[in-house]
Amino acid sequence: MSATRIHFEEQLESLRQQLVRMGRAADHMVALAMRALEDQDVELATRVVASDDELDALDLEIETECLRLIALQQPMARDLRLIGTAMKMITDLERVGDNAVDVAKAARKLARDGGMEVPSDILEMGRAVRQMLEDVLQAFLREDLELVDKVVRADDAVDALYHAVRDHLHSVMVRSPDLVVRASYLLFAAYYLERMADHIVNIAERVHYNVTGRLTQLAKSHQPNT
Amino acid sequence: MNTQAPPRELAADARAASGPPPPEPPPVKINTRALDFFYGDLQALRNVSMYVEANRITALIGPSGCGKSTFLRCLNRMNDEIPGTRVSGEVTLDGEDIYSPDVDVVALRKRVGMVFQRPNPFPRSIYDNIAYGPRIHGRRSRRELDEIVERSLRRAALWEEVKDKLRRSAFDLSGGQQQRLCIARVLAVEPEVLLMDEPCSALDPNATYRIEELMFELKDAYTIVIVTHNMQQAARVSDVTGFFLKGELIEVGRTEKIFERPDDQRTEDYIRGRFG
Repeated sequence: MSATRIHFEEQLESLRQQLVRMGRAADHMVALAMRALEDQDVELATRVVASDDELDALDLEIETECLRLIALQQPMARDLRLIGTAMKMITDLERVGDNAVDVAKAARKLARDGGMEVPSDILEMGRAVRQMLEDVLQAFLREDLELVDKVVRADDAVDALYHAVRDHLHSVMVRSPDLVVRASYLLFAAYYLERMADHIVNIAERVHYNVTGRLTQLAKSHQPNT
Repeated sequence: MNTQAPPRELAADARAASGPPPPEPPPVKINTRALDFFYGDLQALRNVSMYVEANRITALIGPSGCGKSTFLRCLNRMNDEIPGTRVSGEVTLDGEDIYSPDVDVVALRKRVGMVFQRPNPFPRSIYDNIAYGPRIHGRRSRRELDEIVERSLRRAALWEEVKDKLRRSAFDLSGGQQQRLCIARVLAVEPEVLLMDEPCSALDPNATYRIEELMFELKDAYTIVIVTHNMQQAARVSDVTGFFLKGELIEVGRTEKIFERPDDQRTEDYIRGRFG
């Protein structure tokens, strides 16, 4: 292999590592947002909100690198697919970070309004989302289509938890109108966790494309008429 | 793989996608079957079977010495001019075997014209470069030749630049203009197929751009096969791409597929620059 090709391969490997770094940063935000929610910790929630700037900076850095590689290297085949995948992944990871901020803001409002016990299903949603994120990053690094399938299946479980949380909080609101505002913050938090899972499924679909070269909607919720 | 899928399989990807059914694939203009070619004892092509669709641009890529130019020259029997060569297998044009003993090679090369890497205008005027071919094929009337010259130069997107200096030497033109003159010269004899052997490798980027534009315009009326070392050019201009390696056709298919997700690892390694 030529020196220029070796250099390009090093740049592609660096791109993969940057993507994983951004994924881990997004996961850290989700973890802190969930802890802020569970503990109703205003200071921790505020730190999560502030940390979004770091994720946005990574988003811009990786996109810039992708465009530079396209301009200078004219990538083909799997190199092209990797760079295309990266440009889509960073958008979904950035949205996961935004949703983590939304959870943190809900936690902050809940704490300032007097607090309320967080349903265990919401905490379970948080754990499931973090596991999905870790699995999709591993699927990306290892080009593992079985892990892609696992992530897609896990989204169904998160959807089911969301519906259960929604039904539970609706009945709380009906029984105890004085809790409507605080329950609504929890409902928002559950909604944002469900959205995070959807974004992670988007990433899984891109990983699938990266490996197979085929753009396919894998999740039922992404398919028409479902 | 050495064999190319028949036309309907070539459109399989399009059919697999949702939406209205794709149009019928174009007819096959040239077909080769089990083509072997030898320079003396050296086998330059091995069992090459592929077809060229009408009114499409087919690009042939591969490392130096892989046989792509040899293959191109088989399509109009230009290799006949090289002593000691031998061909076996079949090459058909509109279903007719071009290596049949009763084939008129001059007539064949009228139907299947060629443009070479280095522009090679005749040492004559611009007008006479274009008129030379038609005169050989019996066109004598001055008015008819004038029409042919203008039509050919217009088709080659050169008319506006040379219409006021048709009597000047072809060597007065720039490299890019000379190459378009050579294309016009081929077009003057009303070919059906244009074979282009690295037509832009001796040209600057602007001249290359003009030739690529011209290819797009011409493919509605002609079938074009181009050999190129420039993979980005193959990706830009062609509908179908074939990859050659050591005399074998490794893979052929729709250009977007070859450059996005080739089937063969050797194809992928080549287009990613891992060798060649």
